[in-house]
Amino acid sequence: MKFATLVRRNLFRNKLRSFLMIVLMGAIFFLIAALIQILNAFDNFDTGGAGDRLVVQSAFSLATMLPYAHEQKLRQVPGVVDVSKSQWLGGYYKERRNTFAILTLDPNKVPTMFPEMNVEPQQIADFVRDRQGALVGQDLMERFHWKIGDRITLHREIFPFDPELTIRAVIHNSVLASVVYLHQEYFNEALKWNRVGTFWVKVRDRNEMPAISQQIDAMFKNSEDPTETFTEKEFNRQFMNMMGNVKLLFGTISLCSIFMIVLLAAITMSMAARERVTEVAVLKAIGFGRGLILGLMLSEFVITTLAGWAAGIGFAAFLFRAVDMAKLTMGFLPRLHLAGSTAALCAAAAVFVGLVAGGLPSMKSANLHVVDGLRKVV
Amino acid sequence: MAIPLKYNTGNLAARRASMLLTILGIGVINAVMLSMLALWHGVKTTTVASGSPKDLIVLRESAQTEMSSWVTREAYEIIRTIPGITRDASARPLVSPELVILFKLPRRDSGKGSNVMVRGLTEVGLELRAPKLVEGRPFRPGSSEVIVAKRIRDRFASTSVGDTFHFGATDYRVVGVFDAAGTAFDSEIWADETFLAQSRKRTAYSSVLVRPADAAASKTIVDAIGNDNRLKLLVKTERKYYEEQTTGLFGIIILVGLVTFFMVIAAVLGTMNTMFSAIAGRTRELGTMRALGFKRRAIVMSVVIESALVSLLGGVAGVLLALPVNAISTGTTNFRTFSEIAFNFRVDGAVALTGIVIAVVAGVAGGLLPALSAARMPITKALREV
Repeated sequence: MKFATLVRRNLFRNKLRSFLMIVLMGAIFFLIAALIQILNAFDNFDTGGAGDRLVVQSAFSLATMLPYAHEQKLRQVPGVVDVSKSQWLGGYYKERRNTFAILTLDPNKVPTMFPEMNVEPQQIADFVRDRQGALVGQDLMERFHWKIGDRITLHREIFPFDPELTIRAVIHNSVLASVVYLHQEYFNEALKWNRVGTFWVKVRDRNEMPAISQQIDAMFKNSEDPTETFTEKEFNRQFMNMMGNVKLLFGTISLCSIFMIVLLAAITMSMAARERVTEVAVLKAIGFGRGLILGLMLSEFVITTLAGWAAGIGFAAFLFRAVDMAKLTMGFLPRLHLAGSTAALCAAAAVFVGLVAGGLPSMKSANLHVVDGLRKVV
Repeated sequence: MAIPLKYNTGNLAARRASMLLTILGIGVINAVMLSMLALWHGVKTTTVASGSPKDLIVLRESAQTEMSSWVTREAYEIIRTIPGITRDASARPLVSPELVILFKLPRRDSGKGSNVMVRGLTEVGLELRAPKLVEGRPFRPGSSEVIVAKRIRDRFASTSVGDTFHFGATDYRVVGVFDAAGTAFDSEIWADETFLAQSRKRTAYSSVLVRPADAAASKTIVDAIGNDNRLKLLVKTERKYYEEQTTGLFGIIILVGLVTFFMVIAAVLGTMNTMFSAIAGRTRELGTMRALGFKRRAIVMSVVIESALVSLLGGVAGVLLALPVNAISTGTTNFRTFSEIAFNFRVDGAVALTGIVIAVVAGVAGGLLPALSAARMPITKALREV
């Protein structure tokens, strides 16, 4: 480690250049980390339930609703513990930019079907009792300064129905923090359709889920309203798939960004190598070997790229902790956090950039002839 | 006196290797940024350009989309009688009642189901919409025949001419393929309205499209429908309707904004770094020029111009690198309608120009700091530098 000083001195030789390089790489690594985390968050969207729920929707399309009559038949399927209807309404509060998720459910099913909502028992009772009651996520309560007992009117998005609600209960779940639930029956009375978008089915044993979903779909196959049953995870994932080939897009952006910083780092590094040709020649003259020079220079470059990585990833870790993306985007983006695997992946990319971009200039320096180097005027 | 431009071009030529790397680097940044703009442009064109600025679309009062709207047959009969509507050769008013239904159909590549909008049209509707058939023939009225947009045919299984696809209890036969020139209709399947309504048990229409005779007539029609309390309907130009649909694409807006922002930062920092290195290599030269009597201002200008020049070349390289994305045709979902829209990345003149302008602005911004530091250097110190 006796060469540490030499490497350190060289790193700080042109402070501005190193600084710019580090900021540039920091920005790119931040972007890549953010893209990976967004992708992961969508991929692993999970409300923290027990994973024992199936979602039954129409086989025709998401926009087709299923008749209420299906519920009784679902209950009779062996292995089914409980069923709740649920309908996506969409809509906003006061202004269009306050758009968040608005859904219906069967209120008395909250404790058994959706225990992960963590609602106080007394509040659940209040919510069940009030036909126009609302069950509201904690972030929305905070954002709009709502209190239990407040009356709110939500604006329609899909159906000709503007829910007029009284807040009765609060959801304590970070994934469901920007959601409003209201009574399915309140919605149904307004439209009198006796149809609903989805049935949520709780099963006794998770291992029976594939068999039960097959049984459900087979049961309705020849009816007027055939169904398609998903596990909750698959159901959530279909929205991700609907966005298109996001994985490919994000991957391409990330790879192009890496390629770009390789190019820009290569310029800087060859510049750094060029201005110390004489120095290297002197080092070689006093007996530094080719491998040693190569190692010294490469470690200098890799340290620079790793510093960029540390800046970007550090900023990402800080920002994701300090700013709750879910709160900021009202649930459109989930709350992001920095996974260790993402940080490690970016670190590997940083080392790669350092080695590839610094490889040629370092090799040139290492192979320098002493005489040529000393003769050269920079 | 300004330093001649030839000095800058000479410099670029002298430091060929690093300049090429810079240009390529900025080119890649610019290409990524352009692809993002192209993505947004493609999606936007697909939606916004779909609507005709003249034709009027009639929806239920509070409906945001055709999917969530319905117009009764009685209302349609009333709308037909409003004066000021263009008539066709057989004196029928050009009023097209349309039924829109989502079909979940399997994709060609993955076999996974995706939502496609199926539009039921009457004879007048076909006349008004006038699809440009590239293969086959129009569907016959009252039959299970459909025509399919080219992009849908490319993306969904069993949708080529002669194929039959199954939905619900009905088989639909594909008899034609149409090209809607990159609009939202390129993501649709068109069927006979009567047949579609029967097979899907619908009694009401989703929307009604009206072609007014002229601008004055258009206003009369809007007023006539808007003021009729029986109808409870909403009229807007089709263009406006499609403009409003873009709010269902917020995911793309966020992504495009995020990536573009970081690419601009990268471009500024990248040019800054190269320009610092570029001047560091010729401190003495710049000192000499100062000694010869060139003003500080001239030095600043010269460095900024050189930086802008590099960025311009980088910008052009970016356009060239980004051109191939033009060929990419892909799909996403409009979360307002939950239907899939197919679109092309579009790098056209406007996008290319935007990209080049952003690159040059980033270049000027990135060149400014190095330029100032170059100009501020004391002559004596600069001349002493090796």
